[in-house]
Amino acid sequence: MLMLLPVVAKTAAVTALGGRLDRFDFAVIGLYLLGMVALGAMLATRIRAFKDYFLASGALTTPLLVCTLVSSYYGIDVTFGTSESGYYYGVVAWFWYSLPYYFFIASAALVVAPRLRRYGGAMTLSDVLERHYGVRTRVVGAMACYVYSAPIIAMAGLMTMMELIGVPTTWGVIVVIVVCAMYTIMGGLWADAISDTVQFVLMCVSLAIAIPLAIEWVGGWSFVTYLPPSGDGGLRNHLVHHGGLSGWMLLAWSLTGVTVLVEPAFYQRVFAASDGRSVQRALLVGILLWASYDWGATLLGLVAHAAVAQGLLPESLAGKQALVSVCLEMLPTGLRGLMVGGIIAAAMSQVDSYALLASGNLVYDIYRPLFDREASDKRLLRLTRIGVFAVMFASALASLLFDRMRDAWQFMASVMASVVLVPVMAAIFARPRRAAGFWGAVGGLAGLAGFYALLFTQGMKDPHEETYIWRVGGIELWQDYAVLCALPASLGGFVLGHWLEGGEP
Amino acid sequence: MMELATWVAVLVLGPGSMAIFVWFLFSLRDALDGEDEQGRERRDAG
Repeated sequence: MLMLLPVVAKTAAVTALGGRLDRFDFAVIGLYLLGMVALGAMLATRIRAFKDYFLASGALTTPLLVCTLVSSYYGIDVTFGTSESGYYYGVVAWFWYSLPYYFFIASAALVVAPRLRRYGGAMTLSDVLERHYGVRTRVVGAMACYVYSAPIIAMAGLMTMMELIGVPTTWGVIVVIVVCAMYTIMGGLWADAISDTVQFVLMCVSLAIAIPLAIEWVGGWSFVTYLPPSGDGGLRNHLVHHGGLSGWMLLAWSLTGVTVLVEPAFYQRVFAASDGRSVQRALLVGILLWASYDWGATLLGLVAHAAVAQGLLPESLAGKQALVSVCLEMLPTGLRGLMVGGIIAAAMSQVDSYALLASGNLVYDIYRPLFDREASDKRLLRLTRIGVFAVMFASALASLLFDRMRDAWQFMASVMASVVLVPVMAAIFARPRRAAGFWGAVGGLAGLAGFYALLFTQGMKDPHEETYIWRVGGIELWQDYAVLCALPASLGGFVLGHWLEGGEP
Repeated sequence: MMELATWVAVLVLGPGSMAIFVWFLFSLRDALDGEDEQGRERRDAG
């Protein structure tokens, strides 16, 4: 789950804070990276077939699922993005962005997951699409999944992190890619899931240690008096649930959580679970952890805001630097390394999980049905392993195309939801005809392309919000509304396809 | 309220995540054993 807020507008140059990391901190990070490679080597012996590699033999238990789901959904973008939101907007980000996500996750656990168990032998979301709509819909859906899964944002976040800690960006990212690729190529989902547990503990514990120390650093709970007053009856917008934002904006924020229902990692984990109940329990336990992590990151954003007001941090501080800046300023040596290791772990857990998914999309979902239906298990396994490295490398390059992480996330999530949401939900809950899924996917894609074409030609870039806004009459259409405008087109295409085909579903 | 939510979050992220990690360690052997059994069955069937 990616938590970059749609209207995070203010940016500033990244300031290197790496002078505060010493050799001991780097030793902690180095040990962690070496441990990950050793783990991959140990698990490589367990991989005999494609299912072992891509679905960990369908043997993931509840605690493994908790760790892998929590850490895969939460990457560096969340760590930076959520604290950035807390820094600029306050607790509204938690109430109107994070909280709706938990509702959709609970729906996925209680309503969607039990229905997926009937797809015996399925490995990906595209398998579900093919089962109902045929190969062409599978391929279109898989392409959308690939766009969504390629770990572009995690790579962009890693680059920012390297800049922040003063490590040469290119070399830092290369080291992380090589380490991630080594253990993922060797151990597949087993290595991914087990490394996720280490990353899960590292990211949770480092945040749990940082929170009380940060509050003490800004002078205890009285730090809230340093948050800016709203001039609205004395209530500070940073501390009220709506943050002083409009109802439409809050609605747009809360609807972004709908992508959870077609999250490829969720489908992969459901098919990799040892039994149906495991994944439900994992998601419900995960909600508690996600809610706590989001709250902690939001709070550190508030702390950073108060620290700037107190003169403890520079006024030029960019929101995305909030969490890291607070931690590097106030944590003692060793713990700083743990915190930075925790943040890198959050990025790595996302890079490995999604590179594996994206490679599976390319090889299992697109290459196999289109070019080599009779491909042997061994060939699929070899190609998917090569694909993992290729996806990581390509994603690092693609991340350079986007100026801001938000733009990348918005584009990827919009493609995914516009193309796949309507066909997949209809497949799971109704009995649609075969053509409906294809035209639903194509309709969503056309709607999205049309929206972007009109927005970028007719709209203007708002210099304050740093996003495109198209003003038609009295209505403002923001770049953030892409998926809201494309979904009706997908629904229209779906209904038209269902109606035109005729006959029995 | 904010303080309470924060301390609950700290408890969940600290002791809570450690407890899940311990649970994971106990279940790991079962998961790997189960996977070994599946592998043996597949080889036997093959």
